[in-house]
Amino acid sequence: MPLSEENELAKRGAAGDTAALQELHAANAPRLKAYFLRSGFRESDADDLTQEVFLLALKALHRFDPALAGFGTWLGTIARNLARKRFRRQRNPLHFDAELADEVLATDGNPGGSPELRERLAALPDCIAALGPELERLVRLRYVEGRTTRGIADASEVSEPTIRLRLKEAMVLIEQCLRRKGLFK
Amino acid sequence: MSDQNSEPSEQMEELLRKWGADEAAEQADASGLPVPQLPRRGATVWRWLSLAASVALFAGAAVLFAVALSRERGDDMAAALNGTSKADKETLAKLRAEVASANKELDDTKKNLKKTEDDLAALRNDLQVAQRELTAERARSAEKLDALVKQRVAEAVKSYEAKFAAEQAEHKKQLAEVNGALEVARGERDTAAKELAALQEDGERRQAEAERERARLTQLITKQGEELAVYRKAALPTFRGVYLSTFAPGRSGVAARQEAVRVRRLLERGSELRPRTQRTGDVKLYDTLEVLLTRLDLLDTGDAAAVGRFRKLIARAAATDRIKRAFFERAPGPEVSAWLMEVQLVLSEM
Repeated sequence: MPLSEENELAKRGAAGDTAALQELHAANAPRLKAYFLRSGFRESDADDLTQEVFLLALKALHRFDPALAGFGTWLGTIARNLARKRFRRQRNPLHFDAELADEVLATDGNPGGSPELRERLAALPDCIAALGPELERLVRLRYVEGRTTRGIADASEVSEPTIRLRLKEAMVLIEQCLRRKGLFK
Repeated sequence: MSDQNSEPSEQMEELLRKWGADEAAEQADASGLPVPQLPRRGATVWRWLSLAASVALFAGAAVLFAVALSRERGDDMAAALNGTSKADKETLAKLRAEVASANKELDDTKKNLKKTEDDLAALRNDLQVAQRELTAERARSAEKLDALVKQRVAEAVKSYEAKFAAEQAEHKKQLAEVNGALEVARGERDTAAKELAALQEDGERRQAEAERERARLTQLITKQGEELAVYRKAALPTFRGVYLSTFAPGRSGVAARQEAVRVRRLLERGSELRPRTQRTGDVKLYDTLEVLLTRLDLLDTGDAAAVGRFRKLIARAAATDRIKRAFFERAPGPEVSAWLMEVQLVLSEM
C-alpha cells in the first residue's frame, strides 16, 4: 500500500472510521505476525502480539505524526518494543536471526524495486524448487522462517558447519539457475 | 563447478533475504485475527466519574473529622467561661468519647500506615534482593553462554579439523589411485610401443618377402611369356595351315582366308557377340574387325592391287596386336576367345 494512502487511512482511523482501521489491519497484520514468528514466538503468541500491537497503536493513534514516519514504520517500532518486553515468551532466541526478523518489517508488501529485481524475484521460486526437497527446506528455514544456522542445525539434526556448506551450495545452484535464465551476470 | 562460481555473490544473499521477507509476510496467516477496537467513550467517562466520586467521599470524611475536632475545642472553652450544666457535661462526655474514639481510629490509621510503610520497606528490600539475584543470575548466564559459545566454537573447529583431515586423506587416496592409473597407463604405453615396433618389423619383413615374391613371379612370367612367344611363333603357322585347309580346302592365300570367313560365318558371329561387349576399347576392336572382315569378304582376290591395299589396311589397323592384347588383358569368355582366335588366324601373316 502506498505510504500516502496508509497515512490517510491512519488519519481516518483516528477519527473513528472503522473501515479504514480494517484496511490498515489487513495490510499490516501479516507483516507483523511474520515478524513475531521470525523472532521465535509461537503461532498463538504471534497472533496475540500482533493484536496487542494494533491495540497499542489504536490507543496512541492521536499521537501518530505522518511527518515523522509512515504508519507501517510506526507499527514496526511498536512491534519491536513489544517483542523486547515479551522476550520471555520467545522459544529460543539463538535459533532465530534478529536481523532477518527485522527485515520483514522493512518490506511493505509492494512489488517495488527495479524491473531487474522483480524479474529475479519472479524467477526465484522455480530455481528454489529445482534444488530438490532437502536444499529447498534449508533455504526456507533460513530465509522464510528466519532461523540461524544453529536453529536450522537443531531442527534438522545436522551439524552447523554442514548446514552452512549446504546453504552455500544451494545459493550457488540458485545463482547458476538465474544465470541460465539470463537474469544474473 | 568452476572456481568462479564456487562462492555465492552478495547480490544472491540480498535477493534471497528480500524473497524470504516477502514470502514470510505472504505465508503469515492473519486472516483470522479480528480488528481490535478502541475502548468506548462511555466507558472512559464512567471510569473518570467513579474516580471523582471516590475522591469526593474521601474529602467529605476528612471535613467531618475536622469539624468534630473543632467542636471539641469550642465546648471546652464555653465550659471554662460559663460553668457546665449536667446536660452539657453529658454532651461533653459523649463528645469526649467520640474524640477518644476518633483518636483511637487515628492511632489505628497511623499504625496501619506504619505497617504499610514497613511492608513497603520489606518489599523494597525483597526487590533489592531479587535484583541482586537477577544480576548474579545474569552474570551466571553470561558465563554459561560464554562457555557454551566456547564449547560450540571448539566443536566447530574440531568438526572442521576432522573434515579437513578426512578430505586430506581422501585426496591422498585419490592421488595414489591416479598415480597407480598413471603407472598402468605408462606400462600399457610401453607395451603398445613394443607391439608397434614388432608389428613394424613384421610389416617390413612381410614387405621384403612380398618384394622377393613379386620379383620371382615377374621373372617366372617373363620366362613363361618368352616360352609362350616361342611356342606361338612355332605353333601358329601350323595351326593356321590346318585351319585353312579344313575350312577352305583346295584354296590358298587370300582366297583361302576369304573362304574361311564365309564358311565359319565370322562376320555374323562377330555381329552376334558385339552387343555383349560393354568396354569402349572392345567395341572399337569389334568395329575394326567387322570392317576388315567385310572388306575381306568383298575383296576381289584376283585383283593384286586390291589385295595389296587390303594388306596395308590390316597392317595399319594393327588388328592382330590388338587381338593379342584383348586376349591377355581381359581374358574373354570361351565363345569370344574362339572367335578372336579364328579372326587372328584369318588376318595374320597375310
